[in-house]
Amino acid sequence: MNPLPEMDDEIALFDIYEPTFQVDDEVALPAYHWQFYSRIDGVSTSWQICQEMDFPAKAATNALVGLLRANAIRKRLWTYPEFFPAGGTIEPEKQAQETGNSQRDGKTFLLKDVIDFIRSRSSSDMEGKLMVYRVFLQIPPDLLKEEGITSFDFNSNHVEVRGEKLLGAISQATSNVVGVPYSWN
Amino acid sequence: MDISEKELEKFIDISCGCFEKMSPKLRPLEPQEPTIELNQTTFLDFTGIIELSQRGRKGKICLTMPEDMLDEVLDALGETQHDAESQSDLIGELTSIISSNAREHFGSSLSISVPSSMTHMQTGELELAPMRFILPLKLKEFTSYLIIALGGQNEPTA
Repeated sequence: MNPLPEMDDEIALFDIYEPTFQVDDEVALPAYHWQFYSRIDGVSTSWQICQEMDFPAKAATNALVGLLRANAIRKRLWTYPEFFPAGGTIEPEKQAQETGNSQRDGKTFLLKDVIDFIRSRSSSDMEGKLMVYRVFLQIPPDLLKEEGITSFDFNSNHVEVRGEKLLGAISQATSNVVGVPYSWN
Repeated sequence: MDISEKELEKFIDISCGCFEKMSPKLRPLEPQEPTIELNQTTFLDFTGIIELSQRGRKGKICLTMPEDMLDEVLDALGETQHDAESQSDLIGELTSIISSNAREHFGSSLSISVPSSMTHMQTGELELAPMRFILPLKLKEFTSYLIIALGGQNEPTA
């Protein structure tokens, strides 16, 4: 468990960020910035990501600053109706739990997380979606069928992937196509 | 087969622009939110099919359109006949534009077939690789679909 962040870090670490999917090919950042970036999903606070990755608070703040300057991420903000839909309160942390990000054990992950991870590696929206297609072309269709995955879109897919063979196949396919294996730990 | 994202994106751009190539009166097709589907694709009234092959691996790109959309294009081209034959000819012509533009772009790096066309009834015989990228393309209120079905790592042919 990381120590609580310093006060000046809290400003960033309790905010939620999302990828812009507009990263310039020329942008070069330290590896730990990209490692942090790969977990940014628009629902988890930066502090939650720190804890999941066992990342020091200072390093996370540095990564956030680097990624913001590179226009790779933006702070996610909510309007009143978005934050209090139909009079009910949905806190970001609760929302993250609903999408599974706070409840994952070491052997499951959300399909959406894999899709976001792959898309974050591309320079344009359509290219990212086609990259996801190329990754899934490498996965034996039977493994997907066994998990009940027969169709998915790119934005709202909260299917939980559990099968160990499928987890391995996805990790291998991302490594082949994207150059980096998807890691769920 | 291993076509890169950029190459596939080029196919999409060419497909979106195929109406404009037929007549400057027509606007490009507007891509909508795609999906990835496994073994379940809905074909519309008429479908044009382009076969691709690269180093022994095969794939298909299909453009499937409803009659109403084809009639809209026939109208824009000043064609008064809107029967099944004209609609089938038109889908054939559209896919020919796509394949010839693609051939021009890709050269010998990718083998691109002369396109064929099918009616909705015939698409039951169409063999496609199981993993498909389905991109809706809109013109006014009409929606067609560009289907990219490439053979995966475990399917040398499709």
